[in-house]
Amino acid sequence: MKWLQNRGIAIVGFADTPLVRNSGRSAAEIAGEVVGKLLAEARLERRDIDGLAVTLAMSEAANPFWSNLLAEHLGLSPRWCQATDLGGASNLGNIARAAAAIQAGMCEAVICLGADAVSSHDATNQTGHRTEFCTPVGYSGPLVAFGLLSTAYNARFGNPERALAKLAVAQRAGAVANEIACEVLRKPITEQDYLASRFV
Amino acid sequence: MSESRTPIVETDLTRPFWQATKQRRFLLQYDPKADRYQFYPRPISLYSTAPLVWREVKGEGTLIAHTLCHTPAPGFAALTPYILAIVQLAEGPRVFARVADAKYEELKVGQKMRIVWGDELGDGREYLFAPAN
Repeated sequence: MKWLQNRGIAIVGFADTPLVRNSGRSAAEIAGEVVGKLLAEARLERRDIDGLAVTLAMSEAANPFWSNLLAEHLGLSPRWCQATDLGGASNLGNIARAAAAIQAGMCEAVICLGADAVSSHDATNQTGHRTEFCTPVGYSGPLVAFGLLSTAYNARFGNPERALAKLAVAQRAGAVANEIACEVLRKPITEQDYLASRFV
Repeated sequence: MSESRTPIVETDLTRPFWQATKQRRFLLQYDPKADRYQFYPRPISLYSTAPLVWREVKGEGTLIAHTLCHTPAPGFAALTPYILAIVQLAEGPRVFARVADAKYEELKVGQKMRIVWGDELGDGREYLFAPAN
């Protein structure tokens, strides 16, 4: 991937907002807050921005014009506009796609925006084999997928329970140190807490 | 929670599969050119451009992965915790389903499993796995 080697393409500004469960706010409202902060942080004007890459917000999943709507809401007039449906990888995917669009000469400055409010409103609607061959037979979400991955992994390599405990502790420590982390997670845990936690 | 189970909404593509389950027959799509089977049903062969045919299989396979589910899907609360598994059939494809007649602690990745039929949907369409003894 040659375009990733172009060191003239860079992240020039960054902003985020606190993660809040059931805030009742809309994704567009959160987008407004973060884009306002970003423009101030990066000392850019709206007219400097000619690209917009957004995640396909779960709270807005039914809207086939989501990236267009956000551009209008935010007062942006992008020449290149993109909504990315890579689930949790969409933010990173947008950075790579924005770099490719800049490299291709389609635009010069892209806002990569991941704004969602799924705990307030979930508009997703899975289809295909997920609703026909997974949910009706008992699939209840990612916990099942990770459980299946775990037994397959454990059968080959052994159960890395203590390593997983260390990871959980480190992630919690990260949340404790992070002022905008979700409030319920800003409480330290020990490896013992992890190992004694209930199965889900 | 007394949510009812997510209904199976068959499509033109999957109707032959679901029709066969009513007679407790398990079908896979088969690509005669590539001599390969596939599951879940797809609109084209994953392996060639040949037209697919449906073939009944015995439902014997090997346990690839399993998990004990404490957070039920809609309609599964009364069964919780229940076991879910991925089994690789002798014909190749992997199938995801609930496990009946087994204790979670006694299941071992790699053991032989077979498809059995449940009747909780009322028409015998529920395919499950059980240890093949």
